[in-house]
Amino acid sequence: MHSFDYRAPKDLEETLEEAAHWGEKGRLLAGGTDLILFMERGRLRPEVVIEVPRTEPFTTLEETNGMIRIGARVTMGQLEHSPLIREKLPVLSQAAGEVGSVQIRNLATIGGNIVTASPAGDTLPALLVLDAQLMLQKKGSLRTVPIDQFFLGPGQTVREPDEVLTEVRVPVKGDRFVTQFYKLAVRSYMDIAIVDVAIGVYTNGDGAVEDARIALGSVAPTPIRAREAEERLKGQVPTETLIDEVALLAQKASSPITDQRGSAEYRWLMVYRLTKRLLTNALLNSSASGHR
Amino acid sequence: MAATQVRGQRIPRLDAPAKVTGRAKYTYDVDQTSDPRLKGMLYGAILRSRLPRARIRRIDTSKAEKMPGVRAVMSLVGEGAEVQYAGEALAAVAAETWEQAKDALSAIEVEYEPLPFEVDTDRAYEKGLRSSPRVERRGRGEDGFDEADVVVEATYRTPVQIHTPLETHGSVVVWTGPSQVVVYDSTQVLFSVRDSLARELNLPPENVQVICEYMGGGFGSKLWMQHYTPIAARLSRKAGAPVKLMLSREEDFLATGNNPDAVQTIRIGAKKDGTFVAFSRRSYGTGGVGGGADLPAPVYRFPHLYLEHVDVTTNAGPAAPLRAPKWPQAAFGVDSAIDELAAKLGMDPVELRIKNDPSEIRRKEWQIGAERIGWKEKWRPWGSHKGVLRRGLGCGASAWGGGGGPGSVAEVEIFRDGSVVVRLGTQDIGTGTKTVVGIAAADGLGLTPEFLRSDQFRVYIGDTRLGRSGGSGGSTTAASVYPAVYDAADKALARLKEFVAKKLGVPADRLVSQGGRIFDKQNPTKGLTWGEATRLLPTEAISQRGEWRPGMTGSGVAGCQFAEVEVDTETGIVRVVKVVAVHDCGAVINRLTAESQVIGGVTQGISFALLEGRLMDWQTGLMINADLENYKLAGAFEVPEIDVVLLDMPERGVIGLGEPPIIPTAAAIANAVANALGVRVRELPITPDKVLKALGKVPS
Ligand SMILES: Cc1cc2nc3c(=O)[nH]c(=O)nc-3n(C[C@H](O)[C@H](O)[C@H](O)COP(=O)(O)OP(=O)(O)OC[C@H]3O[C@@H](n4cnc5c(N)ncnc54)[C@H](O)[C@@H]3O)c2cc1C
Repeated sequence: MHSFDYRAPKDLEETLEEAAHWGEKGRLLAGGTDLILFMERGRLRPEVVIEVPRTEPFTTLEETNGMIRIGARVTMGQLEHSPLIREKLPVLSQAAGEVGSVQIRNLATIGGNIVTASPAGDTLPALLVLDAQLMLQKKGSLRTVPIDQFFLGPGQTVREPDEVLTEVRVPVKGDRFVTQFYKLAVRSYMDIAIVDVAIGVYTNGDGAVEDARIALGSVAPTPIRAREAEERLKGQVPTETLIDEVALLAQKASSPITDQRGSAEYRWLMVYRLTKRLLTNALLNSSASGHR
Repeated sequence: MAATQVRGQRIPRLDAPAKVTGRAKYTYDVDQTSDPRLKGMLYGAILRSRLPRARIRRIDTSKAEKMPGVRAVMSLVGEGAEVQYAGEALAAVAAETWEQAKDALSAIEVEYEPLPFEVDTDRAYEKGLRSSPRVERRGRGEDGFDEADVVVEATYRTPVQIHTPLETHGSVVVWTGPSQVVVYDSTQVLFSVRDSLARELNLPPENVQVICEYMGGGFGSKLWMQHYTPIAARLSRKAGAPVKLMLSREEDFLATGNNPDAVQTIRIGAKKDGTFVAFSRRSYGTGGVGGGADLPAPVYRFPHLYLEHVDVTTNAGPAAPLRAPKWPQAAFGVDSAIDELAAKLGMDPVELRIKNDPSEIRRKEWQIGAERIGWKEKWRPWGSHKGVLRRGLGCGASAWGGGGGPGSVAEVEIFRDGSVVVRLGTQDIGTGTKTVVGIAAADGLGLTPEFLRSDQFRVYIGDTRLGRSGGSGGSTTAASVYPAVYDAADKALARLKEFVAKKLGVPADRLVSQGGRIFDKQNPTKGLTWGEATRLLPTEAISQRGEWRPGMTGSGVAGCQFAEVEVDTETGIVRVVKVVAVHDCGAVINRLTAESQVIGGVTQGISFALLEGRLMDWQTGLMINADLENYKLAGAFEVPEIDVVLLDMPERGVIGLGEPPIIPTAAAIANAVANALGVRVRELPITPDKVLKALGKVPS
């Protein structure tokens, strides 16, 4: 690995200072489970590595006014085990719990998973389903970016080099919002997804779908939402035929490639089958679970 | 072999505490804190070819030599030399830090003249980059098929597999005098590394000391002195300081050996009642720039046999034996084809095997395994399983040699204070050899498992200053070292008995040592405790050397395994639910480590069946998955319930067990998947997309 300088700002303010000062020459470090590997492989060569401090708001994990605030440094392990997340955002808890291994989850953060912007980042489809808002702050300004507008391509996002992701905000949608997540990988542990599917559906008292989210990972240059599929569900009382149609629309939204983890054809088929499986679980046999 | 209090018990590894607490120093770990002679140790690194085939027009190390911290630089190839695979060594450096060494490598200028290459086995075969066929015939060869009522034929494929030992390859070298060198090496063959290095450096073998007390596995890829050892020695001599040269995981993947792939077209002919008549196999495979892709003959009884093999040359690193070299591939082919035959005949596959199995022991093992997996209750014919999640059963056979032989010189010392020291220059490659050496001594001396675990008992291995011993390959270590250590212990005990005999006034040949006492077998109450006996010694210690004795070992093991799998027919994911592994290894020395060998073999077999495989990009000639993220190994969650059944057959003597348990696993899993699905995946690894292709759900 190349030589670099290391900074450890104490709090948010100092972090913003450092980020502003170093700009493109600097890189933030959270758990380091992506950054260090990227540096070892020469894919990133920052002159300065700035460690995100373990202070608020980076470590926040709480609910205020119907909004769950998750600091960027909250780890996958915390998301997996936090009673708040397990109860209110089970889909995120499950997705976080399928990242890497126990050791990785003790280090890996939600902020790192988001900013790395891998098409296969496991929490990303869950966050898409949850309408997560990303708080991007730099010296003197703060903006909120909805997660579905954040990703531009593999490793590419709308974040500017001096912008720091401080927290992720997730509106609590209540009990009528049913979610499911499925990570498809050949190894049941410590493996990168071939396909990730997350769904979320609101049903009203009559059993009709009021709103729906279908998000896919590892089947396009970024994690994506299958909007046509979502639209097709809205206002409908779900049936097997409808779910089949919706799953086909989700498939249409994907543009998988062939790589060492799986062929494009296989991924394409899996988007259809897993979307169908999760929607069926959520809408037709409500007792079943989408977790394998 | 007579029963003892120790042999056949469950003895925890003598070095387990050292390993789990991190006290054990592997080659990777050694430095001046473990050996003061390593003060000032430098880090070595090797520059490797980035191209699969090229002529080296120019190699210029002058810039690297001037880099900070760099203490030695060496070109390993001359200008004009031709490199044959990506990963071939070109130059080496030693520097004060690992980072400096890596930086220096990138400052070495290499001008390549790219040459045509081929890394794809099939394309190389078509291009004629292949040997002439090697043919073996028995009976009437392929003509024998005219006696068959039923014939099946299919082609099976297995990928190149990499050894992936937990500890990557490497050596640490220190010159302790102008012509004296000490080498820590992660190796399976201490003495052969010593002798090879002595030859390379023009030193008498006694001037080279090789140490490997603990090692993180080799699986056959550390069975000879590898290139980095003399490189480290030369760098060290040049720099005048110790050098640690451990390879990276990527280097391990590219340049330390691999298990050849295989494409086998198999035909089996049988009578209507299932009696095998004829077997033919045409195979090819690549051992990269080396050869060695040939496969062993089937273990079943075939009156007529025809084997034809062609080695294909590709621009990839040379092959090396990997745990039961080529046997798992062969078993996958043969046992898959047998199940295809059973389906065609409408016969139970276990019955079909028993009918055609020449081994009496394995015929018994088939029965035991079938019973343990619940074959009678659970097995249903191919194609009769329905639903999204389908379970299936399958089985496969193994066979191995595992005999030992002379060449070990062990020493057993008994001290007046009762303590015992055992010494032998063997190596423990992770199989538990150190504990086997201890057990052999305890058996020979009549001591107890408690004594073995006490601090009165010490075993030293892993150093060429100790008595010579052979390499650890072919599952021969246990059967080679046990008799030598036993012999030394037996002789040492005989000497101790002389003093006891005098004291008790009983002829020495009437004395028995057992359970920590030496006593008169005609009057067991007349005797001395071990401690009382050793206090009779007139000197501080007595010491005896022992050598391999005939009559204590055997050779030739059978074995079979049964697998139960569950396949998700929507995603193609295969989960192994259970494996029953029935094996024999003559006299079981340590039940605990013997079972652990079986568990390890099954785990590696599952990995081979479902996950592993080298991927080469035929356009660039480079390996795509030369890391443990993309070259997948089975992890703890892939390991199912493994029911190990070990037959203890003391009358056959000690026989090795390290390799056979990997042989039948992939075959059993492939057969179980085919049983669950009613269609067969004939290519390993059985990945989800291949499962769906077989089901006709994804286009080929
Ligand atoms: C063995 C292993 C297994 C893995 N398995 C999985 C898996 O199964 N699924 C999966 O999705 N990922 C996996 N990963 C990838 C990785 O663990 C995750 O992406 C993780 O969430 C990254 O978080 P981190 O805190 O380690 O990020 P870091 O490596 O610290 O940072 C990642 C990137 O985010 C930037 N960054 C971090 N924090 C901030 C911030 N607050 N503001 C702005 N930029 C920031 C960094 O500059 C860097 O570019 C694995 C990694 C390893 C090593």
